[in-house]
Amino acid sequence: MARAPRPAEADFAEYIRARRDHLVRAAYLLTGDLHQAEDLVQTVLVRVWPRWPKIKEMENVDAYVHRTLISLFSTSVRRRRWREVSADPQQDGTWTTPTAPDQTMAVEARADLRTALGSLAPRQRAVLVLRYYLDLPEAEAADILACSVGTVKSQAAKAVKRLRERQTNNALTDERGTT
Amino acid sequence: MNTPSHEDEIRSLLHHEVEGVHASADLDARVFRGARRVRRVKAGTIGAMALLAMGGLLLVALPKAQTSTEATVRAAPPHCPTSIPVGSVTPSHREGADRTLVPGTPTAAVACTYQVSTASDGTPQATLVTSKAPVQLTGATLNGVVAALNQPVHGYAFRCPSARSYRELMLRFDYGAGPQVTVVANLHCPGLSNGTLSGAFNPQGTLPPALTALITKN
Repeated sequence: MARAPRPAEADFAEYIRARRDHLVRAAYLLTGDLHQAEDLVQTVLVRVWPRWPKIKEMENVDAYVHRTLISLFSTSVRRRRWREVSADPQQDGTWTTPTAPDQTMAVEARADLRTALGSLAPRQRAVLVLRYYLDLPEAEAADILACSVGTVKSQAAKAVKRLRERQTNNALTDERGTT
Repeated sequence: MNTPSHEDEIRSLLHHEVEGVHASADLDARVFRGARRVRRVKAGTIGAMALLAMGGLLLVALPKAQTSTEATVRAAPPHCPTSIPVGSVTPSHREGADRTLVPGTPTAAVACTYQVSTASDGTPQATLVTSKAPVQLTGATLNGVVAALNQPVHGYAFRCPSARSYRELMLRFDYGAGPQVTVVANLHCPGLSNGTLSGAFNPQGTLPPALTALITKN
């Protein structure tokens, strides 16, 4: 007979089921690779699980999980530099969005964005994800990154500027290519 | 300085970027497997060290260990825990707990009232307001409470994040056999839950008479 899950296990499994897409998407924006994103989230959750009885009583469980995600991402970056993902979204199976032929432009735009994201410093990428994907206030992002609000502001501004520059350059290149 | 429109554009691009990205369905199973593997490695390391260090001592302690294994688990008399988790309820594995707050026909229940407040370190805590002896429910009173609890609109959030001090009513239902079911109702803001299913009676959070009677008794 299958072992009945303990209440804490059932509770944690429920949390994972509810938040797995959200966490893997954030990790995907950080790492640029779906497999790495899943591995990162799995490592995060394995770390969280032993402390779950205490963590689940916190008012903001997600904040703890986000902090662990960013911390483990930073550690993994220190060990291995983030690799630029291929401009071909299908090449290594990392891109899971179904794309119809008429979505070619959208796919190219996404590839541009991923390349641009990959060109950012890991800390800038983390700031972007915290501020503009997870929509966290500057103070909470600063708390998670263990830096000042001013640093979050400046890193976010630099990252946004750099992304816009990349996109403008790509748009100009496209225009030249088509004329 | 970036204008808000630039930030909104980035926000939109990032969300667009991850459309269609989904986690594997077996992520939870992989997490538990990974955690067990980590635990086994840790336990193996610690166990080996402990065995080496305490070899002789283990033989001396053996008779004592045998005595402790003979301890029997007796059913505790109904009582109210001195504190309960804040913002979450331990889900019951009783069949039907995902469809109705109090599934089936419980044979008895206890009701305990808690005061939720913020500790000096900032963590919320729910402490028992009255004595450990709970209000015990049986017969018609129990049936009335079960009927009342099975009426709320489901899907309402249970959390009461903005409130710093409020009361909670905890009801624990016993079935004679199988898992118990615990229901916690916020008395400050709308929302009650059995850990799996959450709901509210109305947006104001007022409770039906069958439940308010229990609070008065407490």
